[in-house]
Amino acid sequence: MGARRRSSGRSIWVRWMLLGSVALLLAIPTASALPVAVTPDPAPPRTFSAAATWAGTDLGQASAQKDAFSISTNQQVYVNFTFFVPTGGPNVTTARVQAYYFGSVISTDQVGTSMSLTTGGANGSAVMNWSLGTFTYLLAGVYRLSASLVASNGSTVWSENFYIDAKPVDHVVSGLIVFLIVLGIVELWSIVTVGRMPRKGRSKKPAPPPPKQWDPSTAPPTGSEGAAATDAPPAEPATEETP
Amino acid sequence: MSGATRAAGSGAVLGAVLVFLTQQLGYLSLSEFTTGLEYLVIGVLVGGILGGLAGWALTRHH
Repeated sequence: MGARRRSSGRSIWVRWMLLGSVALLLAIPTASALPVAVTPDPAPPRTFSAAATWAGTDLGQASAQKDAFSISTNQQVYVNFTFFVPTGGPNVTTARVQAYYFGSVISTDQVGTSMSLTTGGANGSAVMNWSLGTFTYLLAGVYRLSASLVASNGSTVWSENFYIDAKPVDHVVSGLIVFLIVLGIVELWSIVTVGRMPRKGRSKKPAPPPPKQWDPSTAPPTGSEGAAATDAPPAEPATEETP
Repeated sequence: MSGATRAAGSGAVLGAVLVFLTQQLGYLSLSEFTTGLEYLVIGVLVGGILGGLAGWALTRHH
């Protein structure tokens, strides 16, 4: 009897031990949840970065034709370049804006950059006063422009494409528009007047010979003699000689 | 040269003129070479065909 009570008391004690150990296991946080001593990472090395604005607006806002920057053909626009070159990076010396037409560059504007040393590299900037230049009164319409930063070795370090929509000044159409309208009218007139052209194959009849002047000497007399006379070519009309 | 041929030539020029005019008025971009060439070829072809048809019809009626 005493041995049975002792064994039941031991089993209860074992159960409590098991329950306690299970509770302890559940209570112990997993390794991933353990707080890890955070050591501050060193600052990541800064890489080359650049941006440009068109009259204060980021170029990325005109990356599509429908979002093109609207300007007058004689307007001058400030293009502002800012960039960061890490230590050992390219030596950016020139900021450039180029306009393209049929894949060819039709205008290039460029300015030198200014750099200031900072931690980990150098900050750079450039300000350009851009205009259509020689094409002010010649070109209008939508054009793709490319803003780029060029290194001293001539390689393009950074570039961004954007669109502009150049409107003619004060509603005065550009020279190219005038030329195209005149050429269009001429060609349209040429098509309209095609119907008045003589049709091919229908040649004009030759003009009738001028009527012969009547000469009494060649008048056909009645008789065989006169018939022979009419075979001869008509005599030239007598001209009056001036004394 | 027949009237239709002459009108086709004029229509082709007119098609090219319309493409350039559309670009100048701001509805089309011809900055890319391939895209611009595509627009130009389409304009010349369509203009040439329409001009030829117009010329053929006009010479037929006269």
